[in-house]
Amino acid sequence: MYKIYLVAQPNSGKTTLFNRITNQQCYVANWPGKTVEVFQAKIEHHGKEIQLIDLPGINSFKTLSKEEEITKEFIFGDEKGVAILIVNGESLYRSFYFAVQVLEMKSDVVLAINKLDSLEKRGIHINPEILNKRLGIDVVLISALHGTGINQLMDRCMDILESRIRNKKLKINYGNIESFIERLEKIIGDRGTAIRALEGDEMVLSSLSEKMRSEVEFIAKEIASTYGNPEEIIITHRYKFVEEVLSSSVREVKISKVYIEEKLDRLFFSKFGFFISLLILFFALFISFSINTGFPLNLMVEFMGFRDFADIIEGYSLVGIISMFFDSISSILDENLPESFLTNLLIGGIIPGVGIVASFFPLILVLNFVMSLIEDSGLMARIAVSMDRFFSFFALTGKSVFPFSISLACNVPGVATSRVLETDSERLRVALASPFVICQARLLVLVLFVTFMITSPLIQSATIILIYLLSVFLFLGATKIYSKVIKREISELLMELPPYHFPNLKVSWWITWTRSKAFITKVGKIILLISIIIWLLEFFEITKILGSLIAKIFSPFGFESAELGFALLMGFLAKEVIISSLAISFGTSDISEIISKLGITFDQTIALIIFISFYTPCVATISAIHTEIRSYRLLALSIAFQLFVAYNLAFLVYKIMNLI
Amino acid sequence: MIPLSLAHGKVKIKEIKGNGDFVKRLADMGLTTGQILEIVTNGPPVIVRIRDSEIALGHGIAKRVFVEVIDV
Repeated sequence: MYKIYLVAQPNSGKTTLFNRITNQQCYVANWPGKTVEVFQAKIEHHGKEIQLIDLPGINSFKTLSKEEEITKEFIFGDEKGVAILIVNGESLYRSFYFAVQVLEMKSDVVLAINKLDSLEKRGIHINPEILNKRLGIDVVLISALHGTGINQLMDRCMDILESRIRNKKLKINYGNIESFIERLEKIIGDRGTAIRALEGDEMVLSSLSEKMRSEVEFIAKEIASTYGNPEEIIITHRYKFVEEVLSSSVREVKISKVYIEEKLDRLFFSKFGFFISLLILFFALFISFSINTGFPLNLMVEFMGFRDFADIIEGYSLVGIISMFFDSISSILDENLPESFLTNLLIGGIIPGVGIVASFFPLILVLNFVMSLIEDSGLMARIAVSMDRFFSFFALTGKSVFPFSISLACNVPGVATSRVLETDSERLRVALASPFVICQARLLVLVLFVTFMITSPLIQSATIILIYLLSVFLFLGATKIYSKVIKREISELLMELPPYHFPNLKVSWWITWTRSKAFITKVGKIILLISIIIWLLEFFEITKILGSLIAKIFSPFGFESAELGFALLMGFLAKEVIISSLAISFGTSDISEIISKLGITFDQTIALIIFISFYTPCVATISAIHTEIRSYRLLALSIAFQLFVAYNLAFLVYKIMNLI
Repeated sequence: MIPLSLAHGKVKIKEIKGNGDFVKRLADMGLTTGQILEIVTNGPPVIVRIRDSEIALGHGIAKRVFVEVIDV
């Protein structure tokens, strides 16, 4: 079967093109020999079956992540098939610099210049024929967003696949070091590889023999002694080439930056930028949360004195409606199915488990959608810039605000979002610290305890706000503490600001669906499995024994209830299970009855809330962190650290409250 | 020659201080010796315009890029 690979830097519209070609009929497959998932699809063009592979976006050839390594290996290797190399029309100069490097290594390539729609709006005209002559490959202008030029692009790919045309690798003139490059080319056998070797590319160097490596070193030294650093000479000549090619093929009819965009940027880059960004993020989270759990809208309404209305908001939020739905399924089955082990498992384990996943899915979906709008409009980059100064106090960049915000909804996609961070050090620190961010599951537990233990709505809100502030402090503090165990690497912002535009609903939906689907498959399986395990533990009456063991640990707090002990153990698996576990143990779903049966004082409640807020959030998060960091040592360390912090913080607060 | 973090207006990059990886990372964004930039804001982070794109640079990076002011 023919194979077509998509190769691009991030933000070039690669995913949009992939979805456009495949109509979203794709599947995820593990890359051979790597634990990285890559999107693939089977498509048809003029009756020929083709496998389309969406290689991970690659920032630069100085590879950093596991994902980028796959793409780099493909570019440097000689896999059969055609590569569609996507150039971002919104930043031609930089994007071409990347493209030219690929073309020096690979010849079976079709160049797709994307974002034709935006180019036209900005008065930029590109002549693909001139580019074709200068680069020696086919160049197609496309708009993945509007579907322009896609057929032509596929036709050009078929030309290569069916050997109607033969391309050569791009040859750039490197001026006075040309003779050195030719010498090295004869030794190594490939010009592109020789150039990359002179640039000190580790992947290339490690693929060469010992003898070749010493030749490279020798020639590099020779160049350095007469002409200067070979790396710099190569970069300069390559940019000069890009400049020549672009100035001969691109015509710009000057249209100045739109007034309102200029104003917006000035606002974001001023000292108010931080607060504006905060406001945007707050608004985004507020909408997603209110639709799902009713919080914080319900507390606000209640605070204004409309208690009945607040109850309605809470009862008819998405989570409320979905749990009602699953409860009624359970009770219908309970009445109609014959009493047996399997029926019990279904009603007590499987259906509630599916219910938990289902009730969290809308939150993830709505939040992903709101976030994708912010991302697609160009606001995301401005928010990162305006937040950068604040985050730099903790050796983080402004980009960290995104994994943090997503973690406020759910830590699992939050941890996965840490991938947007550029350096390994920042990525690992943020992923490891994410569990300190209060997620919606914990919020549900928190709100229940707070509403039933504290009567004044003012103190209720204050308690929750204080816990959130504490959570921000612990998150930032933890990223700083983790820098002691992770190799130091300076994390500094270096990013392109894409032009503003109105988000395209279709693109946003594609992003939203891809991310939300990943949540269902990853988290869904784990939560379902755990629900079944809990039910089995209940069934064989092991819960009491485990519960009283855990309760012993909490004797300094004066908790003795084995039910609570077991609930906290369950909370290690998933926080929202704490309440349902208590409900099952006490045989009632009335929260006020549960709390009165627990028999805890106000001081103990506060200590309990703090412990619940900050100990390991759930197994799904732990597994997400492991996917990101791939180190059992760091994983174990972070779990121990969270338990340590949560326990001691709760104890400290308990003692202080006792004194007052 | 002054660091980018202190400059204003139109500038030309004279020197980038750092190891090979650092220089390459900047080169991938279009920041190379001899390149002419327009400074949008001093930040931090510093925002510069190079041809058709705008790039944000953290303070630590901007300190290591030395430029010559062409036009204020």
